[in-house]
Amino acid sequence: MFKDKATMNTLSSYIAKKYAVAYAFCRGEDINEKKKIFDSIINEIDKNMFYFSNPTIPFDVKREILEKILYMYKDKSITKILLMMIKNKRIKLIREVYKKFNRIYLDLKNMVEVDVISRYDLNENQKHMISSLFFKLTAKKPQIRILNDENVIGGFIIKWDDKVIDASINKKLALLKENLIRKEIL
Amino acid sequence: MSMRSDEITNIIKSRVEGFVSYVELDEVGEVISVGDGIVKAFGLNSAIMGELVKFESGVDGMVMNIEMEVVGIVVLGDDKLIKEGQKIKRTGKVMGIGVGEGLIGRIVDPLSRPIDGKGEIKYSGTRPVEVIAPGIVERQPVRHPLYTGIKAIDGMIPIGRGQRELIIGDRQTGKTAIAIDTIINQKREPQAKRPICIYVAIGQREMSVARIAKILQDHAAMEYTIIVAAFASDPAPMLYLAPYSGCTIGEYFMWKGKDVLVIYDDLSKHAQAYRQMSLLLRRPPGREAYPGDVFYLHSRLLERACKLNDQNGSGSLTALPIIETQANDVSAYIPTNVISITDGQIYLEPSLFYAGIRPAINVGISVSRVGGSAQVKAMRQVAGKLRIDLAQYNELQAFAQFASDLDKETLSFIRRGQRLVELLKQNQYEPLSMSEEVIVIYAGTRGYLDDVELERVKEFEIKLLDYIRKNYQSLIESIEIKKELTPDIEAELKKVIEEFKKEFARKFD
Repeated sequence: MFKDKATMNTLSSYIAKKYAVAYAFCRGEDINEKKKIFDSIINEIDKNMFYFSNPTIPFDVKREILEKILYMYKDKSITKILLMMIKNKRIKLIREVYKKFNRIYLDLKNMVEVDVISRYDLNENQKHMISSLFFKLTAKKPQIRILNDENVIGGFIIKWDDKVIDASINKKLALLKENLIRKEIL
Repeated sequence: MSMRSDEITNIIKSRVEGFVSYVELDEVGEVISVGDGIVKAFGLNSAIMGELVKFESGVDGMVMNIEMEVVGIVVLGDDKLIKEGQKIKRTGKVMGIGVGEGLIGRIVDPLSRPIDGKGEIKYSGTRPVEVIAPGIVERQPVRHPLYTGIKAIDGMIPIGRGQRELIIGDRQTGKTAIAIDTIINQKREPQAKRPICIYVAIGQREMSVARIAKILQDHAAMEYTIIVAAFASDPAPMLYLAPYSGCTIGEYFMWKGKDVLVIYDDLSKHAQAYRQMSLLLRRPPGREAYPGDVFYLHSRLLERACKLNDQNGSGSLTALPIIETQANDVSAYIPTNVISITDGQIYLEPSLFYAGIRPAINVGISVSRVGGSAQVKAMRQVAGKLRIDLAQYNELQAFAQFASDLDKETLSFIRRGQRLVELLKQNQYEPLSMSEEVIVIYAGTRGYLDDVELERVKEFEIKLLDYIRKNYQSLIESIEIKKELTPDIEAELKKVIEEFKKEFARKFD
């Protein structure tokens, strides 16, 4: 869940959160449009990261490149935020900012990203069952992403934020083992 | 014992059949960095201060810092088993340890796990390590004495049950010896009133703790003693936890109406361990690089010492913290803190120690702020004069070298003082009972030693006590029972001492 190094770096995470909050709550487009724009440009920014983060390229040149990429969104708040990040030499945090922005977006929509890990794909019925159970538990709508893992013998694991519900056979076997050892059979 | 394989199979089968598992919601974090017993973790968004967490490798940890994105955790075990990226699980419980009668006579680590190789301990329950001290409503004033068996302390710096008396001094001045003597002396108390003794070793060598355990064992004092040990080789969090664990175990007995004596040996090392942890947790350093809350560290611990009122079972927890000073400097940060927290201090001086005055207590600056009201009348009657006589002697001591030029009265003060100092010397592991102390101090303060040669004062004391034990045991018993020197008892005591003096002069001259 927190595998990438950028997330691990707490300072980066802290700074990225500030930019994400600024973009999410600045005046201009509504949050849905902001999200749509961010989704559409993130890969393009990533591709040109070499230019944006290169200290030998002057800021004006970087601005020109950015404006060419974002010609459709010239007057939108995303351009201002990205220019500010380039100026402050924080553009490398763009992926982290994107993640944080998505988190804010989901929060505002009372939604949460949920990873369901199982050995095989789940059918619609099973997904629906997990969704309704999750809503009962957290009062939030889950945005389910199914991840297949061959190490899961059976059942499934649900992960969101820092929370885990492990309903896998692996966990049951581990508990059974612990139980048998603790009771000192012999 | 032998079992057939089908029996084993049946047992396993029944266990598997009876096994019920529940799906639980776990809150997990991930280790970002680990080093020197401190873990920085991501996640654990709802973790609370002091919460116990479990690492994937089975090691326990305690939440000590909660920051915007990360949680600082102190590792209560081997940090080599923890790796970057490892999962950490919340337990939802604040740090607690097992307590119970099963701990008596055992040596345990700060998590109350046995380390003496005597097998598992049967706990009666668990208690949180960090609790708020009993409030004023639950307390009552300190009234009952706790005898150390050391003449100088019981006479001039009395300790009451529920008091906090600091033992302070440089290294090798006999601080631990006083604590150990006090534990040994509790053997004299009747079992119902005998305090449970808890010796908390903080940052000591394993050899020292083993030696103390052996001494207590040899004096049959382990029957009512628990040793909580965090060794010098243990990680700092274990040293930090040790006194709180000792106190928690003590509180279990206190709330059951028992008296408890807890010795923290020593809080200087405890403060150093906390400093290490705080610096690694990147808390801002203050004076002597200690964190800002180092006063609270000790005040919240020592405030838990108290005498409970009768509605709460009238149990008590007496604390004897020990502080090691550097080059006699009592004005350093930690010593001044603990002096201001406790109800008095026993100050040990190296110069006295090397002059052969042992215990090396400086009676001039040692005080007990609440112990006086816990002192029995008999002791007050005889020891009231002792402090004055010694103070006068200390003032006149400088003139002692001009002995021939001094007037008769000054000479007599010096003579009396010298004998009293000699009388207050006491060997290690030879604590006296209250009545014996009263008799000896009575003989000294009433001038019965004035004409005894200085070198023979010790001999006089030993033989006087032997003489009374042999011929006048009833006198000792009546002092123990009445706890005061009634005119009758005093008359008899006078008679006995005079009788002994004659014999002492005749037999031994």
